[in-house]
Amino acid sequence: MGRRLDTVLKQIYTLPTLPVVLTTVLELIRNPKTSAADIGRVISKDQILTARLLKLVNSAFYGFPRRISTVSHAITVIGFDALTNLILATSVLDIFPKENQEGGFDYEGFWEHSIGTAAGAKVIAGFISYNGKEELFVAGLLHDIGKIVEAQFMQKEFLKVREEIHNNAGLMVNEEAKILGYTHARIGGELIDKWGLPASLVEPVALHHEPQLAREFPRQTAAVHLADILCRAKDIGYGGDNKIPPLNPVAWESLGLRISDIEPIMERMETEFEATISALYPSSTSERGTPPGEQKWRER
Amino acid sequence: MAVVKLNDLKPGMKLTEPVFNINGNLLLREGVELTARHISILKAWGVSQVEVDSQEKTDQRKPELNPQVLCALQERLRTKFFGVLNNEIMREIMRIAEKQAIRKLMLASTRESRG
Repeated sequence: MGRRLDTVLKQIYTLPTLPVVLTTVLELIRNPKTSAADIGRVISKDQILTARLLKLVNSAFYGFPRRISTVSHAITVIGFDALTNLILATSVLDIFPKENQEGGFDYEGFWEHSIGTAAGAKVIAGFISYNGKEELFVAGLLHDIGKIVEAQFMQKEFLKVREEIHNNAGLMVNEEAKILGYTHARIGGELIDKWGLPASLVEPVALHHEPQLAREFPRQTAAVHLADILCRAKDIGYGGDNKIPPLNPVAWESLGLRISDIEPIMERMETEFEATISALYPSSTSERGTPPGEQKWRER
Repeated sequence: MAVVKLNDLKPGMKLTEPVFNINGNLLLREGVELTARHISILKAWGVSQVEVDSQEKTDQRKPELNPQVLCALQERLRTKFFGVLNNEIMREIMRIAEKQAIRKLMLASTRESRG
């Protein structure tokens, strides 16, 4: 049943690619001789990106006391890696559909789940004193990107998966394994690997349902794994099913969190989610009808 | 009459004494029925407590969540967490999820009842 993963992956080549400005920035950053000014110059050529980036840097996402008005200033304040991750976050939202199609995949719910998980991963970064909160944010944002690949390029199989989720009230990852023999997590990992994104993003995405297999980035993978669970528990967005994946004890151990951290993390996630929604979707209240974070309990 | 701390003030309570700011200027007159905006003005001025009609205060009982809504929420969570509660952390996550969802629902219902 289903096509082999490698056949499917060939089709991933036809998927939308990352914007040129982002690939240029990624290349520049790999070069140790690159300066903040070099990167600032590349980004400033793209006015829309510049405007968005400054909006994000000046939003509650950071909460800096003074206004940051140039890209190079933003770089000196938040650093190269953070900046790249912010560009990545805004670009990814551009290249995939955001609105629901009749009878199709719930893209709005999907992005809310993705942003909620991103917010959760960022909050967890703070609790485990991991200094790469933007990286974890992006890993959270991308963790389910494989589901979009399925929705867009494997429509027949994906429909079957969705039917089975409905019939068995199961988790998407389990139904995928049964029907396709691989999962959205692995597909997502392959996709962003092809995009040339760093292994610190690829591993957490590919292994967020089997975090015990993470070799290079076990804590980052565990953070995304936990953020996904908490996001579903808090009912933020829609991850494609109405279940919660089990917490992997190895992943929990690797984070070094205390059980008493759970409540403040879940508390903080909500504010973080709302701040991110208003930064990434500037006119969200008018476009989406409901204010961010107040989405109704949908009948699914 | 009752002296009420600012954090315990609720819209709809009625002032029984005028409130002045630190410079002695009148902020709100006696008899004013407080709105959320009034309360934030008082906060902005650093007012710590005010006198309100005690009758109004006793009316501000903690609203309870409609039992049907609560049942639906608990049922939903049980379905969602079915099969993964054999873990202490997951039980804690479910407990907090319920607590936070109740809070959110209550907030939404008080907003609704105020129109």
